[in-house]
This record gives sequence, structure tokens and C-alpha cells, in this order.
Amino acid sequence: MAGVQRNEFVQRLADRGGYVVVDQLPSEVQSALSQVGIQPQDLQRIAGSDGVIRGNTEFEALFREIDRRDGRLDQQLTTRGPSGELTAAGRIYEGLGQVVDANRARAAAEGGRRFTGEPSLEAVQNGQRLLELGATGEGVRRVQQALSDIGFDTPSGVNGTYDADTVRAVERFQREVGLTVDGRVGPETLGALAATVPPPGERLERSAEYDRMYADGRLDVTIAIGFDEHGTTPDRERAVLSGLRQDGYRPINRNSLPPAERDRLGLNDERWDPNARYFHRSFTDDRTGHQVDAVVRLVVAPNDGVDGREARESFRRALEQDEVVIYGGHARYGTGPDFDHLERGPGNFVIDGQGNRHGSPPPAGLRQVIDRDRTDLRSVRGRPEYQLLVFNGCSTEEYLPMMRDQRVFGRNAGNTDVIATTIPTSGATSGAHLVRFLNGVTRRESNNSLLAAQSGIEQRHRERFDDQLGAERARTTYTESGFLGNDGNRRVRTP
Amino acid sequence: MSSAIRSWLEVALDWRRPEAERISAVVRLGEHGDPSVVLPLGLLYSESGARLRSVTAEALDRLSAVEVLARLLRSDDGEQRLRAVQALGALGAPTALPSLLLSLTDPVAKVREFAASALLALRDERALPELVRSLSQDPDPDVRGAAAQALGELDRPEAQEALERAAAQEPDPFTVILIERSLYRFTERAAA
Repeated sequence: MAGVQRNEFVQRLADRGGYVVVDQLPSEVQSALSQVGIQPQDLQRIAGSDGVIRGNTEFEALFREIDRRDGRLDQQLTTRGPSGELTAAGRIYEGLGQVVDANRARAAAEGGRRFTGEPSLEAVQNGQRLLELGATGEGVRRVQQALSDIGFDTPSGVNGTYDADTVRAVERFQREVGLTVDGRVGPETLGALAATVPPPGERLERSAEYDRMYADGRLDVTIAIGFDEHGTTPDRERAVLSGLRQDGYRPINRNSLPPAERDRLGLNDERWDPNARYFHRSFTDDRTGHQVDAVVRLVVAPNDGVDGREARESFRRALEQDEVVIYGGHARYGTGPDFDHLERGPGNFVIDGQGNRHGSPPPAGLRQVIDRDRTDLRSVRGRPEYQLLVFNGCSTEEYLPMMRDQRVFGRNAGNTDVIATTIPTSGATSGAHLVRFLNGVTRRESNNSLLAAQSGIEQRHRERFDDQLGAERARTTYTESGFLGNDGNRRVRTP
Repeated sequence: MSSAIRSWLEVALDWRRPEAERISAVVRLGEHGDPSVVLPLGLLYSESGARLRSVTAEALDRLSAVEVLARLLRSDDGEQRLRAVQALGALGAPTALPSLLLSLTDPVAKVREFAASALLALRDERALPELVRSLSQDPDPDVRGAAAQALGELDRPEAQEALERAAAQEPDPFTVILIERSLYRFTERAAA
């Protein structure tokens, strides 16, 4: 009998950027896994939103799953039986070892080429040093370039200085691929980066999963406008209506729709939301030539902000039913979208009851109406199909840890892409932002182009009011999560 | 703008700095600033939390922000007038009423739209006749929509009647939505 200890398992697989893509496992490994009772959805849960198992934490979770099912909970996998034959656990271990070796070799030959020959990065790879706040030089520059080429830009650009913006970009990448989030580049992070980035001279253009969104010939979108104490909710509503008019949408009057039309637009009794307004436009998908019906549900917080219960419920239904949900309004100190006054409870859709984990914590009044442990994501019966969520408010990236946690947001997390903000955005412009997102998702716009345009709206707004520093930071207003493994992504040569 | 004022302004607008530091910069700007800081301070006012907001309001007061912006509203440059009217809307100052009423007839539609939006914040019944005229006669649907929104906040039968007439005549279906929402405000208030 032979066995493998946890540390041995994790080191063998996780070190030097080892990773496995869960839906590309060889059939021998798949059958060994199912023999010990581990299903594809268990692997998806461990892998998180990127569909990749990598890093100590995720491989440890995998070890525990196998250990739990290989007979005894003894912190050891029995890999060989009495006569030396491989057990199921042994076949998993050996098989995964081959997969990570192949992946390591591929990463070294592709993305890893960006890092070879640079002494500081080779020292990182060998575990002799870390890159962290204050570091400078070519190694930092290459890491920044790699991050930028997969969508983790810094407002200060690729400048060779490991500044606070670089720390944040590294943290975003680490959160995204499921590594320990510490904002420093060690061998694990560098390995994961090598495995994710395209070779030098190319960048990864990311896109939402438009094929899946358009597949049924209908694109269901919700635009939800939160309540603003400063009185801009009516401006946002008007701006959205004006944008819909300009983009050729028509309001839907359900009562005058023929039944066949009603079914085609998905406005049957089960889906119809009496508290929302609906709009429709057909467009041609350039890639397939097919007609797609865009059906937009508009949810608006009450003008007086007294009771946001109905709007909150409409938002919750949108999360369950629609392919794209675009929220514009306050982030409420990281607690979640809110459809009435700050200190009222019924309009809060709570994503993270704790609120901001980085920025200023929720004030006492909001604390009183939201329990720290509450998250309404648990009660959402997540769509099994693909979903794109956009949170247009102040620093909504604070929502991401909860959105990405499979235990909180069910099976939706792995199949959901999220666009969030990195900075406090100005509420005044978000009516334009909301319609611009809608416009982008009806023409297969890539994140590179969509998020640059959206940041541009924020930038110009700040410039108009002579806020130069704010305009500078607004260059990277948005960040994205979940897109790295999307089917619609493509590699593009950089000039 | 002097370099001292410029650096206070940077501190005031920098959300990464501690609030106390930003507050003292805003106070300084109120004491020593010049008209050119009114627009950025207006932006700050429109997006800040309670404490910073009230300090910024005081600074704007000391800088006679409403008069500065009212002067800007008479500029020949439409973009200047638009910035001024948006800032006035964010401040919600009652003394801006006469300037805002004049702006309802501005040649630039966006300026008229945001003048109506600023009047919504004021909730001043003296704006009623002009808002009714915008609702029924303005050629731009967004201006009519903003006038409808503002009228919805005036708890007067004349406002309700004007909205009912407009609901029957309005050619643009998107503006009809805003008119209906404003009419619903009267129902809500009656029920409360």
C-alpha cells in the first residue's frame, strides 16, 4: 500500500503554476473521479468562475474531496493497493500530474516566454524573491504588460513601478484565478499569469458569451435604476428612455400584443413583471445573420425613495430570468443595489451584508437595516444558463467576492460574467452608461472596446467639471470578472 | 487658478485621502478660492457623503456659487451654460429660480432639459406656468419629459391637469411614460 500526503499532493500539482482545466480532463481521469464519486459539478465548484483548478487553496480543496471519498478521512490518499496496482485515487493523482506537466510546458512555451531571460522574474520563479509594492524595473514592467493584455490595466499604465495601482491589479488577477489575494507576485501568481496570458506580442480580447446569449433568438435584458438621495434618479430614468428612443426601441404594450408575439418576446404570465416597463427592438446578429429580439425590462426606484420593495423584487426576478442585468445607482458601501433611501431596509438587495471590505464601511443607519451575515444572493434561483451582470455604481468590485463564491451564488457563479467599477463613479452620467452597455451587448462588442467607451463617458464627465485627477483615474473605471475562459475570446496582435 | 488653490482642489477631490484632510481643503477653498473652483466643488457636492457635503455647501455659499453659476448661464457658449445649469441642479439652491426659469427658453435643448430637472429639485410652485409651457410646447421630447417630471413634484391641481392634457396629446411614447409616472405621483400622495 502506498499513499500521498496532502502537502505532497498540493506541491506536486500546484507548484510552478500547475493547473488543470476541469472540462478538458482526459477520460481516464474523468472515469477515476466518477469511480470515487466526484462529479463534474464538484470540480466546477472547486475551480470557481474561471473553470480552472490552480494554486494551493483549490488543490487542497480537491485533495479533501478525494480524501473524503477514498475510504478513510486520514489526510492521505491511498494510491496503490496491496499488490502495487493503482487505485482510483492513484489514477487521479498520476493523471492530474501528467496534465499539469503538459500545461506547465505549454505555459512556458507561450505566455511564459514573456518572463524568460529577465533575472528578477527568474528569481521569482525559483522562489528567491517576491515582486511587491515599491519594486521597480523590467520585471515589473513585464508583469504590468501581461496584466494589461488580459484586462487588468492600471490607470498609471505600464510604467515599471510596482505602485498602489499595480497592487490592486495583481489582487484582481489573484481573486479572478482563485489564488490567495495578497497583491504580491510570487511563483504561484507568476505561474498562473504565464498560463493565462498569450505569447509576447499578443493580447487577449475578451468578450461576453454572445453565442449563448443570442442562441434562442431573444436577448433578455434588465436595466435597473437605484435610488439616489441627491435627486438624480429622474435624470437617469429620462436618460435611459431617451437612449432607448435613439437606439430604435419601442415601448411594449402587452395588452395589444397578439399572443404569438407575446410568447416570442417571452412576456408570458410567468415572466411578465407588472412593475416594470418593457421595450423591444430587433437586430441582426452580424456573425450569423439571424434576427434577435432584444427585450428590455426597465426597473426604476420610486421617485420619493420611500419604499423600494417592488423595485427590489423586480431586480431579484431579473437575476433569475434575464441574460443581462445592468444596475445603475449607489453601491451602498458595498452592500448591494438599493432602491430606496439609504436608511430604509425593504429596497436593499443585499449582496454582501458586511459591505465594503476595502473602502469606507457602511454608516450606522445602513448597518441598522442590514444584518452583517445577510446575502440575498442565496435566495436567487440562479439561471443555469449564461448571464452577464453589470454593476454601475461606486466601487462595485466590492461585490465580487460574494458574487464569485459558489456557496453563495449557487451554480450561477461559474456561469456568470460580471462587470464592476474600480472607483467611485459619478451618478450623474450613469443613464448614458446604462444605455451604452445595452448598445454594446447587442453588437457583440468586446470588453476592450466596451469598457474603454464606458470609461470615456466617466472621464469626459470629470473633465467637464475640471476634476483632472478624477479624469485620470477614470481611464480604468471598470474591471471584469469571469471572462478569461470565454469561448468568444480571441488573441489579437499588439502593435 | 493659483497653485495653492489648485493643490487644495486636488486634495478636496481625491477620494483616496482621509476625509478630515479633504474637509480642511474644502474649508480653505471656501475662504480663499476663486470662481473657477465652483464647478469642481459642485461636482464634489453632488457625489459626497453627508459630512463632506455639508462642508462643501458652506464653501460654495462663501464663494457665492449661485451668482457665479447664474453669470455662467449668460455665457455665449452652450457647453458653459450646460455645465452651469447642471451644477445649479446639483446645488438645489432656491435663489437660482429666476435664472433657471430663463434657461427654460435656452436655444440649446440640453440646457432647457437640465433647467427643468433643476426645477424638479427646487419644488417651487412659482415655476408652474413655465413648466406647463415647456411640457406642452417644447419641440424636444427630453425637455417635455423633464418638465413632466418636475410637474409631478408640484402638489397642485394645475400641475395634474396639465399632465392629464399632455398625456392625451403627447406624440412621443417615451415621454408618455414619464408623464404617466408623474401622474401616478398624485395618486401616491393622495393615498398617503
